[in-house]
Amino acid sequence: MNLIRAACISLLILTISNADGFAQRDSTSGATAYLFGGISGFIPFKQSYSLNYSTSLGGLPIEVYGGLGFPLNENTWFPLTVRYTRRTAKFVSNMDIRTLTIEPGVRVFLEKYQEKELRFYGGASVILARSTVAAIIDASQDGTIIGQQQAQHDYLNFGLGVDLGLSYPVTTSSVIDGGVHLGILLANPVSTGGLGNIGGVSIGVGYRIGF
Amino acid sequence: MQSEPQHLKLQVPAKPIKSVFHLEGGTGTVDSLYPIYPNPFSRSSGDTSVLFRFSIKVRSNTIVLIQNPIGDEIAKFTDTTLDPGVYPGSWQPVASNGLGLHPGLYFITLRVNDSTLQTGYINSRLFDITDN
Repeated sequence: MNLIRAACISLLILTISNADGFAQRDSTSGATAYLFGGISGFIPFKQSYSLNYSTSLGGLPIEVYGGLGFPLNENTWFPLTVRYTRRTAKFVSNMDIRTLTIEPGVRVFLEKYQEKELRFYGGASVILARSTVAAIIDASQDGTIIGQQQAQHDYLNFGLGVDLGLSYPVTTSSVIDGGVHLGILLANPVSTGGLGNIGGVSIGVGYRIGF
Repeated sequence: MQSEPQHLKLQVPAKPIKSVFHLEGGTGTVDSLYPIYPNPFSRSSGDTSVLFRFSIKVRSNTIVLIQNPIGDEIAKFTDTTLDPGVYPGSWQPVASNGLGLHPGLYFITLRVNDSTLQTGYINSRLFDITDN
């Protein structure tokens, strides 16, 4: 937590200092908005989540993300990321957890722009999460199974995210971003029947275009 | 020797212990965890306790766990070595603060370990709490 807090404060300071404008340019500078999307591999923090579930989206072990970004200046922009992860149970069929997060944040380039060269960036975000757990249960009123039925419940949560990565300009209006996203969920404790911190590390690559 | 059925009352620990679980068949033994009821559990419909029943074949160390869908432990009944028999149990789904647990899906897991035969049995059943 202290690490995330320190990272958020550092990024906030960078954002404020960058608002004055360095002599840095993104290849998409001049854009009024960015559209981006990508795929990631997801590694949960929680051991039980890692052992009992695996990421599966169309049979592939990936999560997907995308969103819109709005530049503050040449070095700073505000991404609004939507991230979707589906993890299926390993120990029983027809059970999965689908997590949709909305992550408003800030992203700051940490070094000067040079044509056709990689640039480091850092970012921080607030995470609003909704996880839906679905499974088939054996319905029973007296200990005798009378049939199977679908059961589904939503678990709401919130947390903080930190991003670190690299950007590479492909064209004058598009960039490939690759990096690591750490998401920590802070509410919905296990002691009250919640899922706890089902956040984790996402390592992914995406494409961003300015318009 | 067949023991008299005992009534298990699970307590919600102040600090849940993380654990993992796996479903496995109980073939080769008569150890068994029978269907849980009422399932789904609805407090607004008058349900007060989740009822379950299990049987064990030989004198064994027995643990009954309540787990969230991830496999984290919410409650645990353990303190004993049980004689062969059938054991009905009940559990009131309340959190340590006395309030009802989050509506959601839960597992009841039975773990039986026979130390003399070096064998074990584990099985889980899913149940649904529709409201709190």
